[in-house]
Amino acid sequence: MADAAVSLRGVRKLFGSAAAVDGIDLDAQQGEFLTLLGPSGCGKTTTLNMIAGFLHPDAGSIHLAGRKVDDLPPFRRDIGLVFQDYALFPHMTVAENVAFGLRMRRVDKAEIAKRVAAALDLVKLTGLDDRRPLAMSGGQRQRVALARALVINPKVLLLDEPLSNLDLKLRETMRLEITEVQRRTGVTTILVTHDQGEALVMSDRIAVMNRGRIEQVADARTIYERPATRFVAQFIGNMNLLDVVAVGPGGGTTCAVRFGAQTLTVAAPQKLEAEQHVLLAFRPERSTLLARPKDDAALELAGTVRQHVYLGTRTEVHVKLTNGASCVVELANDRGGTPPAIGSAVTVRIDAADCTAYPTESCG
Amino acid sequence: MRTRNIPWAMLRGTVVLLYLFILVPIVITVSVSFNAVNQSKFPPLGFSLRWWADAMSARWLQPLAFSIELGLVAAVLSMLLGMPLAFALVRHRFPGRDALTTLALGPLALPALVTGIGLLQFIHAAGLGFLFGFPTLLIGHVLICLPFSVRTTAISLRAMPPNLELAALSLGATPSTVLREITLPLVKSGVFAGGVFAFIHSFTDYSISLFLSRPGTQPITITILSFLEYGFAPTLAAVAALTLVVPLVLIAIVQRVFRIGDFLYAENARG
Ligand SMILES: Nc1ncnc2c1ncn2[C@@H]1O[C@H](COP(=O)(O)OP(=O)(O)OP(=O)(O)O)[C@@H](O)[C@H]1O
Ligand SMILES: [Mg+2]
Repeated sequence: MADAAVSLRGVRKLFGSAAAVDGIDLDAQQGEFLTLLGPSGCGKTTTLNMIAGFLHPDAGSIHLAGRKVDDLPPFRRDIGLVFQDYALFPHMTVAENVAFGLRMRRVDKAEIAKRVAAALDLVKLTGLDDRRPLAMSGGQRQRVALARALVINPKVLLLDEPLSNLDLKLRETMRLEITEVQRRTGVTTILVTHDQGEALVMSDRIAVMNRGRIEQVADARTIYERPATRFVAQFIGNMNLLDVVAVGPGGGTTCAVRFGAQTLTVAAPQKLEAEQHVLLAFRPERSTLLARPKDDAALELAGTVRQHVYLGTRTEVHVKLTNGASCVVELANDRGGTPPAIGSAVTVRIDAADCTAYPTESCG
Repeated sequence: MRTRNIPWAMLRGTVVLLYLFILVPIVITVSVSFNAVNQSKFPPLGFSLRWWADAMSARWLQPLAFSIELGLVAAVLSMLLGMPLAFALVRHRFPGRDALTTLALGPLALPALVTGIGLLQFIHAAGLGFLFGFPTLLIGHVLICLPFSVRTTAISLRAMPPNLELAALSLGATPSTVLREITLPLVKSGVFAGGVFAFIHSFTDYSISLFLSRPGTQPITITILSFLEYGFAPTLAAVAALTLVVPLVLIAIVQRVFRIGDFLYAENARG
């Protein structure tokens, strides 16, 4: 197999005595769109800054296209960067901003003009060459920053929360545009975001980070449907969590769990101890509501409807279970049927195949 | 509606008063200089240009030129010293940083007379008496001007998004190119604003110069001060009007080239 475009091995970064990045291994393949997703302060920017060469890892090493870059300063790494605040040079025009990297590479004038025009064309900014960045909208600045980073044909494109300063509608447009530009140029891209929607829409693969570590790396569907840890399960989308007991030691693949009188075998990616309390996770949209129990292989939870939350295409039904816990069932609003009335007794039903058990302690 | 307007009316009144207190003395000084009699009458009695002719003599023009020269050299030196100082203070944490801050900004808080007396004592104690005149004045003036250039440079440095330099680095610019092409162009208006402040401060100073100058090498302020012992004559009014013009012309020139207005008139300095 060819060398990964970016490869991190055992990379650690300490600030004082606290590890901002706590030993991560990560590979981005040639042409891949990889997203680092995680809550604020989990070490995403720190990771990106080490790839860019602004920070030196305290341990581990980084390779770009098979070449060790630990001793390479940022200006020799051939990396394209787009910052959250765009970091456009305010004293230069749009064209001068985009030309900057080429000028540093001593590309000749005619060639620079050609490539700047092509880059501006790529991000749909044709004709705005002579504008100053301060006289542009957020979306336009975003595109200039993208053009400036891409025009140097970087080995890797790094995007640090590039959309977080844009309003919602523009953010959604830019998501697709950036993805489109990435497909067309085929540049290996690492995006940093704390927005799961962004990660799910844009990425080939997502690396979910938490407290300086990577919890799972997988494509969007796997991350959403088979979260490897409780953290990933809770961080992406909505998740119901139910306190159950593991029947036997298990984990790695599956484990039997007990809830009241019901026992069922569910997925369990992590190791579980026998007779310990564990958390059973299931998605609101994978649960259904029944008027009365069916008593078959699925998990069935008795409860009372407490609240409806109408969301346009879906309705969330909040159910108070008889054991005191609560859970949410999401019903599609497709057939015009109304959800059970508030106060009515219902049974929440989830297929065993849609349940996953995790240890109670969320340790990576 | 009426009650709402009271604060506005008060604000307007205050502004008008402020302008009156700034402008009226200037108007009075300038008109006094046109008196036909050797008395500082206002409104002037008659009209003559003889006091202006007096003011244009070497007796006044020479110290004026001396002050301009001193101010320019002091401003340039404090810009050159203030820039690296501001960089060190804003960008780096190091032992003694607080001490350096105090040293660089201290003269701003100290009464200039105290600084002047201190410098006088020091120069004598250090056996540097032979330097009296331009060199000692320059040392003193750089000392009191430095806070201005450190300040304004530090303000522009802080106002600059830190990512700009990182972006330039990632685009292949070496650190020295980043300094030349990104950092310096973006802090230059702060640096020059500091220079203008420094010049004005030096040009209008008398409390330091009082101790450090000697006959023959006197700034205009000291010359005016010694002349005042004989009372206020229309000549002085003409000289005062003349000294007023110098900083105004300087600000007008520099403002054309750099956006120092941000520093002169507003908090929010940028680029
Ligand atoms: N220069 C620094 N000095 C000290 N601590 C730092 C420094 N930079 C980051 N940290 C700490 O390291 C941790 C990770 O920071 P980082 O900026 O990488 O987080 P992030 O995932 O990018 O968060 P966000 O989504 O808020 O940008 C945080 O706890 C932060 O406080
Ligand atoms: Mg960050």
